Amino acid sequence: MRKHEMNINSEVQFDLLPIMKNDREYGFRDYSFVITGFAVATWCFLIGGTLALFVDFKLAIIASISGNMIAIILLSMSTSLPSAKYGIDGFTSSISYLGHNGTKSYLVLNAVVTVGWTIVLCTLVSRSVIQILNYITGKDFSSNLYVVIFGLIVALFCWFVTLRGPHLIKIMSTIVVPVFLVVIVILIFLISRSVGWGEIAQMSALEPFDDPWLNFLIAFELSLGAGFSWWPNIGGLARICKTSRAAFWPNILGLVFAATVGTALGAAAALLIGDSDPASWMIPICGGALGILSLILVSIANISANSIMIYTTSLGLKQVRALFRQRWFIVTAVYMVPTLIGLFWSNLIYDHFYFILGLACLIYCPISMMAVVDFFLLRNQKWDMRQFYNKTPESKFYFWKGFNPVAVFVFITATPVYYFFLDPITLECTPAFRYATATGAVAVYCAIIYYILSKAVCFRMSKGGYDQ
Amino acid sequence: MESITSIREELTGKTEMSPENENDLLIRLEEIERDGKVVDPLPKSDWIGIAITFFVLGLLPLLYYAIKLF
Repeated sequence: MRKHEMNINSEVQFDLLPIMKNDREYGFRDYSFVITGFAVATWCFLIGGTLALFVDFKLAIIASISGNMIAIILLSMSTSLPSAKYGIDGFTSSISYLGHNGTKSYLVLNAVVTVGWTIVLCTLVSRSVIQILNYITGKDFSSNLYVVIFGLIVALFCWFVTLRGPHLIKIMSTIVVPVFLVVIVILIFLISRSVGWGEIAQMSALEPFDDPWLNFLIAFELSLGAGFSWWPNIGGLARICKTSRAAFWPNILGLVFAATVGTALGAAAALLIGDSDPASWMIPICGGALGILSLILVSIANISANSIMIYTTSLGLKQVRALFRQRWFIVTAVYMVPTLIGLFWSNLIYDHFYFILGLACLIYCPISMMAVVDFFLLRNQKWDMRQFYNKTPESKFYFWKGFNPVAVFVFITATPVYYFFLDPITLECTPAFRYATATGAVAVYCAIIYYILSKAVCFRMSKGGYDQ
Repeated sequence: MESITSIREELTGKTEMSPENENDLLIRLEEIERDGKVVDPLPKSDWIGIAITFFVLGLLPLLYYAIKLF
């Protein structure tokens, strides 16, 4: 096996070890900076633009704070606090309620959501390149063919960066935060100077439904999705924090408040130009040269973010036994081939980007609720750490053939419950959605059913290592 | 010492890790079992803060807008 491959495998194993207090790097302030830099990224513009379709500027801010707050508090309880206390990441801790094989299946499912995000970010770069070409040449490159071609080139470049290993990714990631902050400062300055925030607050939503309550609820639901999308990342970061307090509160500062600044900016720009696509409004707002510079900076940020996502998700996929012995190229190909295929429908996926937020709710909300109930109510905040690392059927977390049937049942049945309230693809909703929201209903359903069935099945049959 | 022996007996060769990483793991697990944790959980005052934040900034805007519209 080549040295690079051995390093990757060693990194995968080393990543699974609990991180002890002396090895932890982040205090409260350090983590606040890190998570803020992570939160205020290009997806904020996309989310802001999407919220502007349904609600005005003020309601976009309220929905963003409210939805993100609820999602981030539940997420932090489900991953950050347990991860900080015991030093393991969210995927490892999910073994306690999904089972060893259940977690591996969940890793694959998580990759589906990440593939969706990768396609969206590649398409955003592709459309940015097209806007620049249109402006410089005076010709129209906006056809679907060019979007697909440039999207494929961007995806292949991100794949190349990932194959080069973590060093190049680390170099690129250090430039993302300052680059994006420059773009945000430019946008705030230009919007303030051109029309002012008072005028933006008076502008109406771009494509609202007739019912104002429904518009607000959809904006709230999408914000919940944006918040829940952080599930794969924050457990891994929390275990590097020196205290539980440092692992929890910065999430609120970064993922709720700082992210809302980026979202509000995206909503303001979309309302101003009348288009929810960030690639379309950069040049009209910033002007020719500055607009092109902003698009280039945003594209660099997107390529870096994509490379990080491909790398970390592929590292996660390495935990699946069938992939552990495979070459790094093959593992990344498992992630990239669906991405490259999906890019042939890039415009469709990009224009229905809110579907990914719905998918995030559908996957991460049940997981978060089961994690909270399992850790706080059923296990009284205590884990038998040996069971996470015993990979044989002797482990108490092996449940039945490596799966917890209660978690599988709750997870599968959460989907029809969600659909009973809202169709995430068409955004058609039933009257019940007006009273509970889809994610709210799924959260309550999952918490109650998981608690009852765990008591009835796992406790009664002495599976899962629960104290009787 | 009794604990590390017990952990070694239970986990050696069952972690799917290299011997080097496995040994490192066993030492860490022994330390966690001895202390019951790596770091302390959140104090009660923080939980009160979380409940207030959840209600005021999470649920209240939703309730306020609902009451305003209906």
